Amino acid sequence: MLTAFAKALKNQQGGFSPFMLGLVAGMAVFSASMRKQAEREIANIESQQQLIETEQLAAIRSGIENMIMSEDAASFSTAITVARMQANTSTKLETRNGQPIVINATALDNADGSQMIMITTSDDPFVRADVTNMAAGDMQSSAINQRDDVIVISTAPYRTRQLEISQTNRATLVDFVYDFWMTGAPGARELPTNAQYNTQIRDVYNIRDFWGNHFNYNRTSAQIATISFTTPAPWSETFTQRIDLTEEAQAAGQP
Amino acid sequence: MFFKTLKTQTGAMFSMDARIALVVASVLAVSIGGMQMSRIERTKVENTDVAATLILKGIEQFYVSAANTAVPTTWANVTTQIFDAGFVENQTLTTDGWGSAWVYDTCQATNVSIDGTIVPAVNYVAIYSAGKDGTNNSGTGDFLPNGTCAASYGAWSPAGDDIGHKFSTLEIEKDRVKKFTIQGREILDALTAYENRMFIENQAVCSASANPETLGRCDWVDPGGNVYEPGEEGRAHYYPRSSEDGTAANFYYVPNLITAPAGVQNTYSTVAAPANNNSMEALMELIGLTREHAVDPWGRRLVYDSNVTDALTAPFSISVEFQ
Repeated sequence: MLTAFAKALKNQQGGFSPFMLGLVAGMAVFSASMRKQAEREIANIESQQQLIETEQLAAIRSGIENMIMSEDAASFSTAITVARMQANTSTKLETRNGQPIVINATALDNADGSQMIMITTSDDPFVRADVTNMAAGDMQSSAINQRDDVIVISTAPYRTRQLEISQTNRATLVDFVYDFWMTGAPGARELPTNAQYNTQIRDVYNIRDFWGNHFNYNRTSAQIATISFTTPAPWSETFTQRIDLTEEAQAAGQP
Repeated sequence: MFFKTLKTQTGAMFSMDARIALVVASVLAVSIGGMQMSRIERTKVENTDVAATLILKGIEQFYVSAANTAVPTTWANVTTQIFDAGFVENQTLTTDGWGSAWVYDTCQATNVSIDGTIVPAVNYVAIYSAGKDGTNNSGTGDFLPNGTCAASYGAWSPAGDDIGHKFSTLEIEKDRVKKFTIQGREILDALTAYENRMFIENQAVCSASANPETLGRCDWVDPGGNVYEPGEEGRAHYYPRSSEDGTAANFYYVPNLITAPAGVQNTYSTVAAPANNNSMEALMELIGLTREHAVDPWGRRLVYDSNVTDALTAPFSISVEFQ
């Protein structure tokens, strides 16, 4: 049976069929062009996805900045979570397949209030596990840090800005304290008492630290006082400026 | 009879090649037809997605165009304030790709601290289409309530086959805070520079004069008296006078060039109309800034106080704020 079929195949003598050949050739050309088109579309989709990923990570970075720089005393937190970030960015905090992004944040460094944050938008379970378990010291040097879908962010610049704003505001208050001292009669100039500071400077100018708290003024003598602010807990670092007008008072002939 | 006739046909159309071609063409037609239907549906999805983005872009343009602090809160307002005002030119975008109405909601968080500056409001917007199935899966009514505005906005995303986007004015407010900070610094710097210039100008006259005690501009301790202490001119107030100064005392230095007709320094009024020559806008010109400096990015007008504590002797404290 098989031999007969092979023989029949060998002895084919069908005439030349231009129509059929044209059809087959046409199908081949159509199929090749469709494949080319599909390749182009896949490349286009891939580059679009890469762009979306880059934009998403940039938006996440901006979201963290917004989250920190819009804090007040009540909303201060060292928790870096999707829920907190979501309120501060319009970007989707999900991976391409709809999983939540992975965030790994180190504990707060009390010296400058900074934290290192590693985030991935990858769906790859190995990358997600790596990011989840990454030790604080390895975040910057880790090889996965080089991936397009992994980002490492330090909150140090934002915390520094918070401190700078608080310190600038405090410097302005110190100027007002000095103005108060200058308004005293020559020879009898004194820094404001704590009560005077509250009513004549604090409540008049209403200048506060970054988180909306009043500065803490403490007069220890007629010519010496301190003015300080304390960052919210658990950061809880106090930054104090000493005001000492002893030399100025002596130069003006005061005892 | 019919089949017999068909079988015995010998025309070109009924050869084996032609029948195969017919089958292949039919299969291709069905397949291409299916693809076309799917492409039409995909186009509707894409158009709806783009339309939602364009509407939000229009709202963003509206928000930044006139120092606005609120977005349209209803779809009717979107129609008048965004479409009719030309922020979105394509009027066909008033409905989604299936011709259905958009679902639109907003919320507002007020007095938000950004970079240590309290901004009047941050606005949040979500817009979505119910998609092909016409079912609103992503919230109806007030799904972005003011009470939990930022959190609700953060948690919101289109569900099911809904297509939509969200937008907040947070980034715009951040830019405004940056501009505001620079603007405030420029005003203070310019006021201080003006004060320094006036003082140096007066000091040069007083120190060069043989009889400074006879000059009103130098004699501040005992006006009209006959004693001049070196540096006495430092007791005058060299900043421009503002209507916020609650004292009637005339300790302001009258510069040579810019004086009111009576010889008293112009008092810059915080309530004068912008076009007036004693307005905050005129003050900005006096100190070498543009008139636009008198209005902040939120459209609030400058309130300059030349004597915050209503002190009667130097030093004097000034303040600038926008209300």
